[in-house]
Amino acid sequence: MRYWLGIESTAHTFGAAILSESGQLLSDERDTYVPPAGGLQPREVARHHTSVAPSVIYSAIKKAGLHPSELAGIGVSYGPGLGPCLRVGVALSRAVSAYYGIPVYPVNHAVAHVEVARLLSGFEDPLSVYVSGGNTNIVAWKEGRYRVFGETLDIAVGNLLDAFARQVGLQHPGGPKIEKLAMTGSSLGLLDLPYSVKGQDVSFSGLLTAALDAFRSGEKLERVAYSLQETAFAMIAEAAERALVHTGKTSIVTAGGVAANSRFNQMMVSVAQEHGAAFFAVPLRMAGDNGAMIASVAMEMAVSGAKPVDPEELLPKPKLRINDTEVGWRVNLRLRVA
Amino acid sequence: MISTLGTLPEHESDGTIDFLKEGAVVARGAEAVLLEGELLGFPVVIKRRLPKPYRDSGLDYRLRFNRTYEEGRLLAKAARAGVSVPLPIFIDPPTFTIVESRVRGRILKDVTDQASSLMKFVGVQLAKLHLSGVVHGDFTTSNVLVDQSGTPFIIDFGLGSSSTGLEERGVDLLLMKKSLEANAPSLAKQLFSDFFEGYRETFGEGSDDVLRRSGEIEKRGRYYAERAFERDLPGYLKSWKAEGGSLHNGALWHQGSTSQGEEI
Repeated sequence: MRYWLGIESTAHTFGAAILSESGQLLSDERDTYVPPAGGLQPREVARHHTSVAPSVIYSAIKKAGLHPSELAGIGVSYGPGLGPCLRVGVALSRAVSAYYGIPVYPVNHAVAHVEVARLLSGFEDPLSVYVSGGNTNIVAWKEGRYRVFGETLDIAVGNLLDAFARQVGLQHPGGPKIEKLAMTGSSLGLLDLPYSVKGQDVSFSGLLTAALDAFRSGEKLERVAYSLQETAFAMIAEAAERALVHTGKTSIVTAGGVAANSRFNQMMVSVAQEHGAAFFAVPLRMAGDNGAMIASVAMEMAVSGAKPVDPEELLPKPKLRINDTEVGWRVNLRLRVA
Repeated sequence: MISTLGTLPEHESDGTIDFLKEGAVVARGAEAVLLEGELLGFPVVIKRRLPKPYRDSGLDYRLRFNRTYEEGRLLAKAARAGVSVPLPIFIDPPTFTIVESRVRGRILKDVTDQASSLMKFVGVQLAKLHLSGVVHGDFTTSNVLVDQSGTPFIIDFGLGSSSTGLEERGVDLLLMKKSLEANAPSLAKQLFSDFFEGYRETFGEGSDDVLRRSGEIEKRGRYYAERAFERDLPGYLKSWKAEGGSLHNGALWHQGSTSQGEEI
């Protein structure tokens, strides 16, 4: 049996996980940085990662009952993400790779989110709706890559929620707090906020400004939270629906941190139902950043014979896009995380 | 004057006249259902926007009503300017219904393989549309219908608006480019350049500005960073960047610093 180590350090979470050839997740360790106040300060996050990385990696390997030399390969997320954070994971995997002579696979973080959701769903070729703090992408695999069928034209939906939360004085991460407020705010009715879908793309900056204006002019926070969330998610649902019809895919998966929001998934289920498509929401535990998804892609690459990278050529790519990476190595294997 | 409508066609035996007969469903889009029908005996397509159970009912009503009204208005405006579009015959926002003339043809998405010369005509049509003061808002290969004579018809103005803005026009070009890339990755470059050739010839002066803006929009969407740099960068970093300095910590801008730029 072969085993792969996945290392994730693109943003607030440092994660390490071990996955076997049969798709069994043997360990999944992570340590998430929570800022004392305000948003994420990249250097502070990187400092956090540096201090927790060795123990996170060590306990991932130990919980799997392995020795580092037994690893068949390492996967590391080399982008997109925060530069200082990426460097921590990349440098560590270079070191482990060189020391034990283990091949290292560069993993596109965005691809990993989408792939882990697909492997868990058991769908062969779904439309993927990837929503997180830094990304809002509606993608489908076509001719060797994940192609973007819809995306945000400005800020990501998670960024919209976090930025709003920060401005109204809520602690990071703002998404879950807004979700809670929205539940109590739904009875107050929807505010008329800018709804901007351009084809299959969405735009959130006008919505952010309008929601903040509404709050500052005395509207109840619960009502603004409800209206903000409802409008933003309806926009993504509409864009996803258009992409579903356009691509003719027969299943939908949601991925990324915002996919942990139950109202979001509720809307996506409805879209899928209306078009007779199967639906799968990435499990809560796999929604946010984690090492398991990086290990999954490393496993897929290795099993399909994709080439590892020389450690000295492994560099962080903060602005990597999901469609920058060739994905000719997808395997159909049901991942087991329990 | 009545006689110009011709003789009213025959109707059911009970003697009532059906103003609008609804036939079979011919297509089901993302937001509307298309039915074949007859309006006073003339063959028409009936487009009806369906409720979306996933969104707030107030938002749903507002979006469907406004889009029906707006689409009818834009179709009329485009038709008057000589753009090939289905002709709007009857608009009824309270029932979210548009009745328009029937166009028989294939979706551009299905003909792009052999469509190099066709793409030029598509560009001509979009240029005419833009010159008439209308932007489409969802200008993808799914929303162009090619009839038997090879004439491209622009359909589905549900996300369109009246605008002469560079930004909105740029979005139309970008959406066509992206949908070509998504559908025919290997041919996309050539097809788009054929498309733009037709657009440029008809649109004339300023067409390059539209293309440039569409490139800017695409870049802007790539990552928040690239836009934030130009807008929020403190002066000393702007000049550093101008001198060729690279901001390797640039990704700092794509998360967590939308409104406060103090993190540098």
